[in-house]
Amino acid sequence: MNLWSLEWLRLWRTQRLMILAAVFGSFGLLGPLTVRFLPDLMESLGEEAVGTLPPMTAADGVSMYIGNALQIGILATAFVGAAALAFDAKPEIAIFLRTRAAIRDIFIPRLVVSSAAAAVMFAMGMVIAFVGTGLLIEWIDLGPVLIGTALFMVYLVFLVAVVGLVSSFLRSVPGVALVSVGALIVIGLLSIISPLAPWLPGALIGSTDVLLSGGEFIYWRALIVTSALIAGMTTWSIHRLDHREV
Amino acid sequence: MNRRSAGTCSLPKVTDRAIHTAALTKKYKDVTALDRVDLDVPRGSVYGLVGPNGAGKTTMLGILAGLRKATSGSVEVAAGTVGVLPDTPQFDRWLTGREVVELSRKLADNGIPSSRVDEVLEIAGLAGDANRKVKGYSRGMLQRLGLAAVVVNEPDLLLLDEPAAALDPAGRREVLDLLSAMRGRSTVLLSSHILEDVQEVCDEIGILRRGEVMYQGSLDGLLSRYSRSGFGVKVRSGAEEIKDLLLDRPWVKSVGVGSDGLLSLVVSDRAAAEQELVGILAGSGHPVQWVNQGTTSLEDVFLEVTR
Repeated sequence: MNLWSLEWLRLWRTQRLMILAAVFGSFGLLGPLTVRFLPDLMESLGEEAVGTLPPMTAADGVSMYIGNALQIGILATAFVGAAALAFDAKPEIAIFLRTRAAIRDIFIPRLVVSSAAAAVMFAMGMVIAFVGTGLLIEWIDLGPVLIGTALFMVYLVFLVAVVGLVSSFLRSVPGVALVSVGALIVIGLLSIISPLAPWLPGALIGSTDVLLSGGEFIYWRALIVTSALIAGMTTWSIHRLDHREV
Repeated sequence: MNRRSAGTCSLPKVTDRAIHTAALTKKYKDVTALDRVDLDVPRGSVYGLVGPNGAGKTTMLGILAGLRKATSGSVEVAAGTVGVLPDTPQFDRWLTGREVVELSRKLADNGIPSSRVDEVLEIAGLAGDANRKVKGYSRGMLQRLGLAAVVVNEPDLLLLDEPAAALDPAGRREVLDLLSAMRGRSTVLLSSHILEDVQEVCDEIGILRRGEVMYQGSLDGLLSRYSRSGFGVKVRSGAEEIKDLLLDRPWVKSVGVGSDGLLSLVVSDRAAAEQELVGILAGSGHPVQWVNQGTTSLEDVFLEVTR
């Protein structure tokens, strides 16, 4: 038992890994199913309803998955991350950890394992969405899907790093999760300022749609900024937690 | 101040003291939790830190553990490994008792063999529950598990906050025996409001009141400094008459009379009292049930010091 295996055990025994798997997996399945059967469903409701629907493409199966993952998936990831990273929420547990290990050694495994779990579960959902789209509708290009998935995974790591930083300001798990989601929304709103948009982490989220529709890879700037923010926020979080009193 | 985790210590070594603080002050906004505290804990001693609620005991332990920062003053902790036990230990509820102790052993990383885990679980009376999840543990079991998780690393210094507060009499006995057994091997600093326990296991004591040290030193020294020579006398009748007889003697400082014929004497000269008291009682002509020599408990002293 060490601080890495502790985190894997936490995910497994608290069923948080299952929750992530259920959220991303179900949306992965729901995306292509919706695209395949929604028009039929609407048709059964009458011609007027069909008229309001834009024409669906195979790529929409994957897009719909990403859209859902962006909402419930991010909320679930924020809560899973907060439950691991807000280790000062219970002072007695904080005392157990802090008097036995350095903050860096406590924090990094929690950040990495939570991020990895969310990223892998997102990728699993994408595999389901991709295969489901291929089987139910038609196969789409794998390349853009792979690149888009990798970029979304980086965004999830960024999200968990935000949770980590917020946990150095707040202590309660729900507080950390909700404030983190709020912070992401605020960061997302910055994309209204057009020159800023390509530099923001949020640009990574929509990459799959752009790449599937034949767009160019224009995400280096967002990737560099996001990576720098992850490193910076992690360093700052550790520094803040190291100086926090229990 | 340096933060010390088990296995590391970068603070100056002092040979005869495990802990030394000088003018240690801790303020929370306008509240002074510790006020220029000079604390000396001899190496190898079992040191009891006592005081009323809000006296600053937990703050003191927090600073010594590196979990809180002093506002001013200095702290020297001369110990290789430090074990800390909060007053209500908690652990991740989905871990088993054995996993908690094993994690503690692994984190300390000081070469303790894994067989020590079972050993301390046995000592803590948790061998039979070691594979149960912590969420099913009672408060007393959590307290014993916390102690096992500390003791497993054989720390040079143990900082224990109310280690027996949540335990039933049998559990309390086990913990006190465990602490007594550590005398000489480790330095133990424990805070407690159970003065009986402190009197039983501690050889050094510090009394805090409102962040100030009212006394520190050996327990025997404290008791002898504050002990009042006294006697108790129980008579069937004539208590007031005997009181007057006793007050005529120069060695009698005061006599209290209880409702049931119990007289409490405070004397200035114990030898004179031992020589004359029984004669005075016999001469009074009243039936005497018993005479005993009064003793001073830590509780009496504590109440007097912190009054």
